[in-house]
Amino acid sequence: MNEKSEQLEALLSRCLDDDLTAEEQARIRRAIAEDSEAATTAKRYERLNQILRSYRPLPGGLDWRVFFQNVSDRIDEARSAEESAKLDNALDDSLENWTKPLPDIDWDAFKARVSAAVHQEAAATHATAARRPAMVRWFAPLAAAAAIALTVWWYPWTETEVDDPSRSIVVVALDMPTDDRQISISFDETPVDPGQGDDFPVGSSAIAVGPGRIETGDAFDEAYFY
Amino acid sequence: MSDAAPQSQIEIDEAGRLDAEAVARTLAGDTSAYDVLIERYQRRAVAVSYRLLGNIEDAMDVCQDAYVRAFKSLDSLQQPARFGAWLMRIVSNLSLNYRRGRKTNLSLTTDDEDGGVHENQVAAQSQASNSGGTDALQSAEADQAITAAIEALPEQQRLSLVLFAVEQIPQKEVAEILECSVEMVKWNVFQARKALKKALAEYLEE
Repeated sequence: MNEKSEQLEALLSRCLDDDLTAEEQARIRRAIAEDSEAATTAKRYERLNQILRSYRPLPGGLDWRVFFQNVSDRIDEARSAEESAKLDNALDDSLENWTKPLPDIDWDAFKARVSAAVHQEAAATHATAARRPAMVRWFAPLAAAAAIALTVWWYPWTETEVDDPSRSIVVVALDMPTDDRQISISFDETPVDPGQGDDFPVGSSAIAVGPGRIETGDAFDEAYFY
Repeated sequence: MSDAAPQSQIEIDEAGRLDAEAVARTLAGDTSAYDVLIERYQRRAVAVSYRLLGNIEDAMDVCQDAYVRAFKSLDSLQQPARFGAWLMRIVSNLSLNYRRGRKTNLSLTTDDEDGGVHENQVAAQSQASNSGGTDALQSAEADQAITAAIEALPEQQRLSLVLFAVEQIPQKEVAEILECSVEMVKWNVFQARKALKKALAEYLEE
């Protein structure tokens, strides 16, 4: 096909679409009138155009209401699935936050911060203790010591015969406070050699006030430790 | 409510305004607004898909899928007034994908069968045997030849031809659907017509 006939065919194709300028329309009319081959080609394009316009017409009897309903149903399903997926994603995000590995942490800096906070707290606690009234700071330990000494002194005279004059010391053991804030006191009545200083319990003095006489195994609320 | 797709420029502008309004309402949660869009374009969508696939059930399925996909992606539509062109682009792409998938499936079972041609063949033979006339048989042969010639076209030419010359959608809108220039649409239509004129020469004689 030469260039001239290619151009003519392009014009004939556009002519079918009413897409020609007045000058181009005149050129086509002249070509068809003067050239039988051009006239035949023009007729073939017109025939082709007619065929294409009737190509695969939609079958009759289509129920558009059914189509519309099907689309609506599928969109409803899609919307429900989307909302469900959103919830799932939110849950997944939460789980991911819980299970994802720890971010990079500067453990040295962390340790330094914790240590500084502990020291600061300890300093504050000591400062509070130092601010206690003098009576509490001095008289209470003295009172505790006096109470223990009195117990030690009084015990042999009231409860038992003292066979051994060297038995002038009774060891008073104080248990650690229990969860319900009670403290147990026990008396060790076995003879003790004061010379064995290392066997003496190392602990605190305490003032424990009970309803009657203090005995081994007694428990007290609100005992004071020093 | 008219469910005819717009044709003239004035209709396109008005349809664009209404489409944009319906899209905005749908995105705001009024899903009944999407019904308007379904009704407005359903006939054109099914027609284009049917002309590409040759099977009305497949075309209906593809178009339902296209509407659902469009709904899901509605918030990504940058020009709501161009909803119609956007939907037709989805319909065209899904139809071509469906056709490719169908061809692959068919090639696994038979070597000499194509769904679109086969269905036309059956319909044409049925039509011929019912009428019993030579003209009908010739018409059936012509239908097969036309279908084979159109399906042999490159995809862009086939789409341009079906949308513009068969479905008669304006060139500007076809260009939007195919995301190309109007000149490209004209060129594709011309190349397709030229190829069909050559392939169908014996059926184009007077």
